[in-house]
Amino acid sequence: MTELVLQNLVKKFDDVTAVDNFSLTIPTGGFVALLGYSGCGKTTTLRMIAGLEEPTSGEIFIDGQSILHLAPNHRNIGMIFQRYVLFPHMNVEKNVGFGLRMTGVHKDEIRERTKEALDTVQLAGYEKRFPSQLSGGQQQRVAIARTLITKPKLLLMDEPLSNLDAKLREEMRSFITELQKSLNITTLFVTHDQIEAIELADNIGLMFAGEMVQYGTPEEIFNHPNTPEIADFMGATNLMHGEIVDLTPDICKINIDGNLISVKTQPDATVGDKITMTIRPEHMEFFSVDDDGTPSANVIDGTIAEAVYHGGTVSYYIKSGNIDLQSRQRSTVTFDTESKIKIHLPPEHLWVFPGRDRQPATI
Amino acid sequence: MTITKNQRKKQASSGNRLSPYQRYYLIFIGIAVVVPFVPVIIRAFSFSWFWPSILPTKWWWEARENAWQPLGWDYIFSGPSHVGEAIINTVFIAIVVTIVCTAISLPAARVIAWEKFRGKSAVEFFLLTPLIVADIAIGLGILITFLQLGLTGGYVGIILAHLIPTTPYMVRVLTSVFQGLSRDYEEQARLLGATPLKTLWFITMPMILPGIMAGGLFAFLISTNIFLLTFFVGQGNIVTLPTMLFAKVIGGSSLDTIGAEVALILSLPGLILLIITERFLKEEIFAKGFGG
Ligand SMILES: Nc1ncnc2c1ncn2[C@@H]1O[C@H](COP(=O)(O)OP(=O)(O)OP(=O)(O)O)[C@@H](O)[C@H]1O
Ligand SMILES: [Mg+2]
Repeated sequence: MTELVLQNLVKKFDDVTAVDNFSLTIPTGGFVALLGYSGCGKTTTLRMIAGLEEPTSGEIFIDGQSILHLAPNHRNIGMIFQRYVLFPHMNVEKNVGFGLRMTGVHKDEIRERTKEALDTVQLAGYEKRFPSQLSGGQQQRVAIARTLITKPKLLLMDEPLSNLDAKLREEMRSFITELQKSLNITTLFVTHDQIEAIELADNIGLMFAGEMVQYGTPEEIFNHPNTPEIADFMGATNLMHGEIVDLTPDICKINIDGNLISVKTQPDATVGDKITMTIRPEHMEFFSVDDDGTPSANVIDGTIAEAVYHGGTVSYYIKSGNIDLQSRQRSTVTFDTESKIKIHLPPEHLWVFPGRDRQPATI
Repeated sequence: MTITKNQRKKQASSGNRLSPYQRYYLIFIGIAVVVPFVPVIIRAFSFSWFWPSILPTKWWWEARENAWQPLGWDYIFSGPSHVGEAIINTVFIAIVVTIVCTAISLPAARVIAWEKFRGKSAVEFFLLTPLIVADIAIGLGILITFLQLGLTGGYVGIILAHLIPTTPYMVRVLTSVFQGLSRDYEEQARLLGATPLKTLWFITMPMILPGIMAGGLFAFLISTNIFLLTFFVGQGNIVTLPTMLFAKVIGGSSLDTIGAEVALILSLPGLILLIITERFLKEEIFAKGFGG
């Protein structure tokens, strides 16, 4: 049972503000991913929770108790470092048992629990190996076993998968998810990879330049980013600027570069509002100019400027008047460069950014 | 593992062939190191050896049979020579100096390597000053202070004095070791429940042991060779091998047999230590010690 609360955390290094007024609550058993660009303050946040860095201001509570006065070895928080940090002069068994030895657990119990922990990470039989004799994935699992054996209240992971190759990363992702669920341990996971965050976490905290810019479920962040910058970070680079020209209680019509696009009306929308909206590359539908099945509304004309073939998909760069769009389509339907097409923007996939002069409106 | 060992040997013998230039250079260095020792060694085993004869006219073992008092090595190993006492003093002082020096240098090196603080470069420079300032200046300086404090003529004063030239070396060696060591290890240990002291003992010390060995070897060798500071601070009360040797050669124009013998003995502690640490040297720990 561990609830973590971060309250208005600030960390300044000389004149650099690494973490700025950062608040977050993780309920017991919650799995939150901190997602953000390199240098945005993710590691610094974890280090403050672990007690390796002292906040300039703010509070950290575990189950309602402030932990700021506690030294790292009294916080009972497990942290997995990016580079595993196995002790090179100790074999696997000694590494895993280290935490228990430090806290004076009896030898027999240490042996017992080490065996158990190594079983959990599927490394039974590797007791006598030294870290240098293990692969990256194995080292990572030893590091996980070494941390979990001490039964930490809270698990912090700092980009634990970034040093692994793609296939191993996949494996470790599902391994970590399963482990976290089975132990029901409150977890804060740091990454700069949005796919990783989406796959692993119940909730994602998006961090830009030391600040939390959006917090929500992976789906919310993926489909309903608060700002164009967040949309861009999440891989939705399409931005369309326009003005609300017509409003009914249900339908809101927007003029985008001469095209009339409909979206669902948001409560406080008014005619004349300037808005910005986006659509994810995979949500656009393409039709050839002479296709009879083309929907009648929310369709714009475009020309394909460039097509890039990936494995199962093609990326198209499209020009439509003053609008530049990027789309991803299954590669079975192919359009050549320079060909004219019709693009359907399904209303349910259009997302209007909330904001000062971008009137809140959705779907 | 057995294969790799053999392979490594093969590689070493075939891969590192020297060019003729390199070979001559090595031979030259070897000669430069060994030749000055030759007269000392001959002298140590001679009874009478006069210009211009190349070898002694009478060796020590020829003279000792019908001598009426202990000669040469017999004298060295007899009580009145005080050589035994000097060896014990020298080694004892060197051991204490090495330990204390390590204890002082460890935290200093750790901070210099890992922390940013104002005046850091000044501290680093300050640490080097004992290597820059002349021995005799330091010696006279300490003598005046130590006389006031009543630290002259005893072990404590000598050990304190020996820390002055040894600590800069130790700090430098350990600083470069700490620079090559990620802080993550200590932090990880703390997060696993280790106190700072346990972290130092179980994590930091074992990981920097090679550096401690290299630095310790230096400190030990430097200490066993210090004459001036020991002489000033010891006030002749405490005899070490260097003070004994200097007493032997100070007035005379030439090295007498006893002096040569003390000189040879003086080289022993270092030699023995080198052999003990040779295993570590082989494992390129020395290279690591200077890994900066
Ligand atoms: N000890 C420090 N001294 C000074 N500045 C620091 C220190 N640690 C971090 N910073 C600065 O704080 C900011 C945040 O760093 P942090 O390591 O938390 O980023 P991060 O989000 O973990 O990045 P990455 O994804 O690259 O690991 C950076 O601008 C960094 O330069
Ligand atoms: Mg980081």
